[in-house]
Amino acid sequence: NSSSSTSNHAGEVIPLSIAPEVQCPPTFLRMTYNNIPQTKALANKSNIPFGCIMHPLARPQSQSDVIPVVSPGLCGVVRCRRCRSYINPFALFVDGGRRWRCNFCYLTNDVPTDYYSPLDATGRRTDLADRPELQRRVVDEASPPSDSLPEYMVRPPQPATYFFLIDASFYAISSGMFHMTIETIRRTLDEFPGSPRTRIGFITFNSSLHFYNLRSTLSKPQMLVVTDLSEVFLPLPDDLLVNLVDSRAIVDTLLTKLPSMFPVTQNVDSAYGMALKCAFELIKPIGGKIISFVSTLPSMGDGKLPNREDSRIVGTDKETILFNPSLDDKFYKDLAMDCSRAQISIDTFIFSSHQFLDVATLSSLSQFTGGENYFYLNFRSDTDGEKLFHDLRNNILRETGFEAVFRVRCSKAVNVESQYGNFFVRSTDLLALPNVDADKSYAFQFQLVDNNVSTKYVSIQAALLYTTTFGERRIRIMTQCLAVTNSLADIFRSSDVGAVTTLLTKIAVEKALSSKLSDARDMLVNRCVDILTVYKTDLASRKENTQLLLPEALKLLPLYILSVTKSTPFRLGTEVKPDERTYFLNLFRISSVQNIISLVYPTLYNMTNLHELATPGTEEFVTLPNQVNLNSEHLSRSGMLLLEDSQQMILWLGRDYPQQNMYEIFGIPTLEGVDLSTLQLPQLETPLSVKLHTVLNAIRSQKSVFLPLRIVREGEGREYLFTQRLVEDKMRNSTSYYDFLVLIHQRIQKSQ
Amino acid sequence: MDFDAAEEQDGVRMSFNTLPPSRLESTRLVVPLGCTYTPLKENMPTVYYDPVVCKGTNCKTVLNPYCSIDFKSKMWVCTFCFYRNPLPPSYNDISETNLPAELIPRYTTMEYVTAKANDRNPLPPPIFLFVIDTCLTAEELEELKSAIVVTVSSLMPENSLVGLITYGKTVQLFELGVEEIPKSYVFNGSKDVTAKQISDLLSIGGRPAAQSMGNQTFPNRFLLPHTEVEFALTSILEELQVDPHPVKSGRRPLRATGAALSVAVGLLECSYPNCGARIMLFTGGPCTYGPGVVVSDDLTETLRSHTDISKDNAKHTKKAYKYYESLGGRAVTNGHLIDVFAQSYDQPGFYEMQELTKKTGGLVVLGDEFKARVFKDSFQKIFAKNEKGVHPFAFNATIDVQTSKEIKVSGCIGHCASTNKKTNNVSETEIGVGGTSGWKIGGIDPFTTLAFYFEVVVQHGQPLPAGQKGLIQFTTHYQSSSGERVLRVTTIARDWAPDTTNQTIGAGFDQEAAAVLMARIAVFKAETEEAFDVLRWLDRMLIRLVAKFADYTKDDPNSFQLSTNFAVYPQFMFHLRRSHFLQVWNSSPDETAFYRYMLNRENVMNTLLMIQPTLEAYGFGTGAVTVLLASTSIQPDKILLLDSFFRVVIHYGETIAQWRKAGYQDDPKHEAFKQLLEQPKEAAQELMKSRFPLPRFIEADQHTSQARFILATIDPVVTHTNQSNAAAGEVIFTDDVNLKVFMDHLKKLAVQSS
Ligand SMILES: [Zn+2]
Ligand SMILES: [Zn+2]
Repeated sequence: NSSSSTSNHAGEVIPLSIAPEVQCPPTFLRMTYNNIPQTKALANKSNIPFGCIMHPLARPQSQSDVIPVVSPGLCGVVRCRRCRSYINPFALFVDGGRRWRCNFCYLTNDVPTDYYSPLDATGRRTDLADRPELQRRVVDEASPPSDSLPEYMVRPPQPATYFFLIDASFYAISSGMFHMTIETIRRTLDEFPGSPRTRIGFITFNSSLHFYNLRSTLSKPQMLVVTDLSEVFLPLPDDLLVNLVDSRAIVDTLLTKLPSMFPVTQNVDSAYGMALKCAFELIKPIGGKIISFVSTLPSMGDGKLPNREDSRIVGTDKETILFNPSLDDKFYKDLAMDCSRAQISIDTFIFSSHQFLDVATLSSLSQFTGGENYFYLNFRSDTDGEKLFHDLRNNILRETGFEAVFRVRCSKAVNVESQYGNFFVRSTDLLALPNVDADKSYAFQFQLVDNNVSTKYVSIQAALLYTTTFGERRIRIMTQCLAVTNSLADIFRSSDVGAVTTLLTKIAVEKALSSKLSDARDMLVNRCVDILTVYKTDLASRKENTQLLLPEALKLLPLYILSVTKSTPFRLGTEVKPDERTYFLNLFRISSVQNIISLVYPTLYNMTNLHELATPGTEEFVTLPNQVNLNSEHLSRSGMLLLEDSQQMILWLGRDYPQQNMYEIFGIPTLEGVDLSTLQLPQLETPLSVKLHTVLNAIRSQKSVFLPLRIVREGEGREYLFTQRLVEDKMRNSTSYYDFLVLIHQRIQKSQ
Repeated sequence: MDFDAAEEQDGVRMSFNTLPPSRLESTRLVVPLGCTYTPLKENMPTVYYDPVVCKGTNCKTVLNPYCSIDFKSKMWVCTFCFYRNPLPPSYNDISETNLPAELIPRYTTMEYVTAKANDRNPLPPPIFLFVIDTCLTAEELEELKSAIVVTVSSLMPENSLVGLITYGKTVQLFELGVEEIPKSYVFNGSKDVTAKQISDLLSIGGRPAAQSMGNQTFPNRFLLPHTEVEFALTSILEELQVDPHPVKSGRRPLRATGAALSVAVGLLECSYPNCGARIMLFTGGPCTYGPGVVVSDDLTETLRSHTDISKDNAKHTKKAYKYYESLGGRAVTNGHLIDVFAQSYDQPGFYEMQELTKKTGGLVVLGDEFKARVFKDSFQKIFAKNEKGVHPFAFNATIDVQTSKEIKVSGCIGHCASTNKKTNNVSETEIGVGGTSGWKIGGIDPFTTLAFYFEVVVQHGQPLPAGQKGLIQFTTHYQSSSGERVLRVTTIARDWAPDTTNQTIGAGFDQEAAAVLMARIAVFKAETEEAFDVLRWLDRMLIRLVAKFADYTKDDPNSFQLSTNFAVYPQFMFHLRRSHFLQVWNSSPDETAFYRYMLNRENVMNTLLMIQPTLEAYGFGTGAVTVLLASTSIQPDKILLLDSFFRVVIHYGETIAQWRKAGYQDDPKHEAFKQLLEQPKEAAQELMKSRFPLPRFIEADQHTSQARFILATIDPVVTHTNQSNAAAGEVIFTDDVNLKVFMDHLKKLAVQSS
């Protein structure tokens, strides 16, 4: 049968309809531009990176983001026989509905008997309304019963498994981190996902390892201390990782008693590496999450790390080695690989007391296992406890997929050139995650396979295979079908400045790690200049014009690029510690478009006239104060501003902020002499206080992570926390936005 | 000389109570000059002041009734080195009628408890460290736990410290001072735990190294007053489970006894050196994992037999033996003892572990089950108080022996370790643990009996000091169960034989003591030599002894006559030869090790019982009658009560057994029969009451398989090969010679002119 085995242009699928309701929501997938360049020459010429940012488990932002779950019939999920792509809205049903043509490889497949539907006069299936997978670009296919499609089911879906590794050395105890962590887990126990199958376990560690027997039949948990760190040794064969429902009372007792088991200690050692190995051994048969809390550089046994921080190289090009894992390390990388194979991901909460903790080396763990890092500089539970509480709760409670793999397929004209995110590349198009969650994005850069694309459309399909916390195997399928163009204008017109900035930022992260920070900054600026240059030379209508011309879709590009170069990880200078830079580089690697933009170009609200703002009672309908640009023009001596960057909020108060207002907000007429680093915003009955809290809560409710509030005053020492974020201003080591535009303009002119 | 009275006074029994006048004569005695000594024999006089010690060069002897006192000049002359010592000022009032206790003639043994010794550097209370195997059945573990709970809550000496280690595949050391949740340190059972690891452990863990309780501070968190941690300990024990590591089919459970003991020994070594402490090991079987492994966990590998050991085919034995020997050595060096309570009678791997107890003076109880009386009663007996309301056991003892210069010490056989004290009175000839005049024992109790061997070094013809006796002084320092330092001094004096005639020396022969001293040597030899050689040696020695001391005409066996105090000796040797101490083939190596262990622990009377059991017959109207330990004593209408120390057997003659089976005892018409049945039972209970460990109690009917326990012990007067005079008694199927044949041979050989 010739038609099913050939793939030629005649067989190309033309989408029947790209109705608005089937548009792929940007929450899940953002292309840098929404056309496919027909030639390599065109792709190269635009200078805009060709790629996308995917956020497969993104939290729904609107009704259209709610993903339908499809239960496959007896035939299982329908896939192309040859290229294994999943059936999607762009597949073409032919032959009276008995066969379908793949939009990736153009093979004509038989429609399985129980998937058959007759076609109507226009060639649409008559059951289209009942088939979300044929209508929506993002669907979740529940996996079929295990016996029908063994390829998805190496083993039964794993239970949601959480293993906590908690540092109990001197700083962990004295900073309150240990107690806060325990308290948070205890207060979250009722909400752990995956009940009644959820499994949980704990190891605490300092110079020794402490295991906990949580057997449900015990009257109290038992603490088992292991001091011999020469090899992995589990003190019990069972009961160190238990079913949370069965052992709930014991776990409660443990978390209630644990803090008093660790009074102030002089133990400054950490056997973190060995603790990890033991945790790995324990959850290896199941897979799941290891959530570790580290406050001390690992100092004993396997995984011991030397303090390689060298103040002489900080701020120089050589600093790059501190952003990368130690070249001597095999331990963390090897362990990460083992974890990846065993479907374990590692999240690391790092607490630094200004000591070097080698975040870079520890980060291998999360980077290759689909995990995440959290970083708390100079943690103190009174000021940072709330953030830790919310971060940890979010980590546990957010939507999480276990034992996940992520595969991106494209029509044969296009393929994936590079990937960005936390995962291990198992084969060119298959990423082992092995956990995926609502806060993880993955970026891809594409390239054209041939010099000339011969089709009119190109499809891209991403499939995330994962196990939900309640133990259902699912496939989240995202399919995008884009028209091919030979017009540079189309490419510029369909560009997404957020996606372009994000992809360029992720490329810059890799550049910073493989080369040096200045190269990354230069790359960003050069790329910006190149894009704008080609725009001016090829597309601008008035070529003689000496003004700087910005394409409509990319008019924010220079601002964003400048902001990226001024952001914490890329900023010039020595005030950002290597550990902090490393943390942010890693954060950028996994962040969504929204978060990256917010991180580099925070939102600034002018709160000066807060008392005049109408704020109805409910948070959903709050009218937020005016947003203003990030420059010091908006700073007035009697003003109040609020900055939010998706990590924190900073409330700035002018020197002459009215006493009456001050009194209403803080209950005191002046902040003169008050230690603002520990000041908590009181909750008062005054109209202004109520309004302020309403605004803060409204902003927080939009964010997945908790935003702690810092308070700074004009002229006070900590004001730089705020002012350094005013990226449009000229700062010590960087230019103002205006000067940057001038510079870009000069370079464009020079290059012509 | 009244040997029993002497033993009552000093706890000493000597082989020869008249000393041979020269080295030559000494060697001709055949049985070595020696004595048994029970250093904690009860009811000795105690004084509460410091002993007066001789200041002579290299002499540390204590003032004793044999010293001469110059009442005028208030001087005393040391009977050992003849140094003239001034009496201390507190003795100023001394006179012939006002003597301090240590000079009263019958106070040749006495104890000193002094405030000075105890207050200056007070000892901690006694320490009990329980080491519990969890590779037991759930039921057995429950029994064991409850026995320990009872002990901790009501039987332990006041103030004593307690610790807990459990083990299976892993070793768990519990930190008892933790109130929040039970906390333990866990060690990999596959590894030896070094002393360094333990000392590191004692200074880590998030708490200060020392633990305060009330107003006292203890060096560690693992050994604390039992009254303070009773609740914690009880709750830990209550939740203690059978080792959770799965045991695959065809496998033995992984039991890391060696590693567990190493933690126990190390812990005490690091925190309480030279303080009284006992490690009580409760094990359900042989070590199968880690250091000290006795047999692998593979069930196809059987536990070594005597043949394996003698042919060097026992895969693990040598290594394991060495391992436990070194642990025992470390323990005793620090003054600690190790007890072994094993649940498996014949296969707990005790052979390899024996040095743990032999070196330290620890106790051994091998029973079939922890729920059985043998274990339960024996265990409780350890903690029983004596009539004075005192726990009679003691710790960390050192025994030093001083002798008149004519006498040297050859060695000691018993449960102790050498302190390598190279004094002038150390003989070059070694018997048992020699080359020293001092020994150390981790734990002693009123049963502990050591055998010391001596040598006379006077050259032939050299005159003996006129009017002097041969003197031996034992000074034993120990820690009492209440934590006091005590010094016991026993000074014994024996006359020198004026000449070399057999009569004087022979008259002082204590055949019972001699038999025991020879038995200990024979068993000591049997540990390293072929059994056959040991038996030949025993025979040779017996022949030589009787040849020297019997009356006979050369080459006329019928003329052979032994005096009363030699008469029973050959019989002891006859039974010793055929005892399970030397005939090992019907016992497992563990049983043999245990029997030998007991032989080296008990006093003369109990040891003789082990060698030659007693047999009593009960019949209508006869009451108990001691009968010959011979097959002729087995009669259908008699009940026999056999006491072999290890076993108490009631044997019902055929007729009695039939009546008993028919239930005559329940018929009021046969009240007499009922009483007859009860008599031996009551007697058996009485015997068992005082004994440690509790003997196995067996009731057997004639011709049943249980009857083998009697048949194996008694003299086979009538065997299947010798039925000529089958007039009475039972025919015994054995190739052993009977006593008559043995004696006939002995007479023949003794009278032979050489
Ligand atoms: Zn296909
Ligand atoms: Zn002297």
